[in-house]
Amino acid sequence: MNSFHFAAGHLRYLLIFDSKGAEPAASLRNSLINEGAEFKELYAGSGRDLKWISEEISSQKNGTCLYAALETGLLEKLETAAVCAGYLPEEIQFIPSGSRRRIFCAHCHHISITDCENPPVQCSSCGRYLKVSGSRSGYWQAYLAVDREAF
Amino acid sequence: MKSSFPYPFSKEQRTYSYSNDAYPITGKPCIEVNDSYIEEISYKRQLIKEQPGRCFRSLPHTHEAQYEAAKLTAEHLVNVSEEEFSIDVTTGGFTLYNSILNEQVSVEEFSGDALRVIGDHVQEDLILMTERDQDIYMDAGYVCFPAGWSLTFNLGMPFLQIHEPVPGFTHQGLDRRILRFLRGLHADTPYERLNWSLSAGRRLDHSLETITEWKRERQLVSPDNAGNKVQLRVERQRLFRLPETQAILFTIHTHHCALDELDYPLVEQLYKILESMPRDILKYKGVSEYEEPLKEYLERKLDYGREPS
Ligand SMILES: [Zn+2]
Repeated sequence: MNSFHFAAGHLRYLLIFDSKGAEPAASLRNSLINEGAEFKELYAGSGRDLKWISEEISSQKNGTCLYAALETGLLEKLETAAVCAGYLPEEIQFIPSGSRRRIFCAHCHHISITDCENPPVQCSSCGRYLKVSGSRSGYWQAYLAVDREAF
Repeated sequence: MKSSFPYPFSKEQRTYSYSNDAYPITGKPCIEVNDSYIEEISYKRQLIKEQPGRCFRSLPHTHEAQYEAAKLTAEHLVNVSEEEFSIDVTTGGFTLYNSILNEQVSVEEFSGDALRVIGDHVQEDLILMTERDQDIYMDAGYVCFPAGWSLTFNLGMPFLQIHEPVPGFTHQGLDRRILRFLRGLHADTPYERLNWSLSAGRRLDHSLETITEWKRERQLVSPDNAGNKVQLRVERQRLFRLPETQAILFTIHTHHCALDELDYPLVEQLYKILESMPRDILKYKGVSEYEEPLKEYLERKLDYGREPS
């Protein structure tokens, strides 16, 4: 799984994660403690839904930087909620927990949500077998995936 | 080597280097018109007709900047060749007369995707970048000949993130320095840089979308055919800050030169630069797959060309 990039200089930080996102959350927590940053963390265990998370992020003061390691489907909705709550793009960092990803097929541009645990994954539109890269587009909210024959 | 080919190395260069090597080109146009004009324009038009969604993309907030970029590009066509191009500017638009193609096009100020219209008349790939949140974003493009990337995937992406896969890009803060350079770009002083790589075959369309088609050529390189097959692929990249909208117009003109066309000192120079290139860059530029036959070809050519001692 990817790790968060600690962006220094924000007034405070909010970290939200679920059980599968515990690893990047722990690594970020270390950075926040080492930097002496003001932060709050929320564990989104079972029963914690989008409504609860949205209320939490909306109640934060201006200048808060939001880090979330949650399941892919939830992150998509959270991105919209965060933008509506006034977070700037550079104040948001998301990592999908677990192995489900939104993937962007480089060949037909179709976006599918796929379990990436057992590569290669197959594009549900053109049927190509794809290798998922670490390159993620915030605009498409998806990871780039390229035909495995290209490697 | 054709006189119009932008040879990318200075006379002294002997090693590969990471740097922001852009230089000012005050007074120069954002485009060139050379003897491949008709051929390349017709190829571009064929590609965009067949694959519109991969060759043109834009975000709606770029319409004003697209118009400014299109008008600048049309004016520069006229500057380059008054015999072949002329422009009529009216309130709210302009008309470009192109006598090479025997065509005329009108672009209205609030008509939307003006870059799509002017892109049909230039050999260059055209990209518009806009600035927000202290970063530069790629927000529109008419791109037919990308070197291994996807316009569609990169749409709306910040500059630093687009270049994340480039090995060495963050080396000694190079990425931050280039971002700072772009943000400081002034309308009075456009810049140019030459970006080079090697490619197997002369195909201009090296889009990520079609990678499985063009990458096969790399397997076919041999010491006997490398001189004709392997090309020095050079992108002449130009950066213009648009004074009204403050967007950045980034134009890319892709040129090829077969290795057989290089004379002895240039072959020797290329050989030394390739020898000094880090493994990850060789892999990124796609050279590792035919490194052995290429090296053998270059060594043979160096043996033949060397003065007897
Ligand atoms: Zn596909």
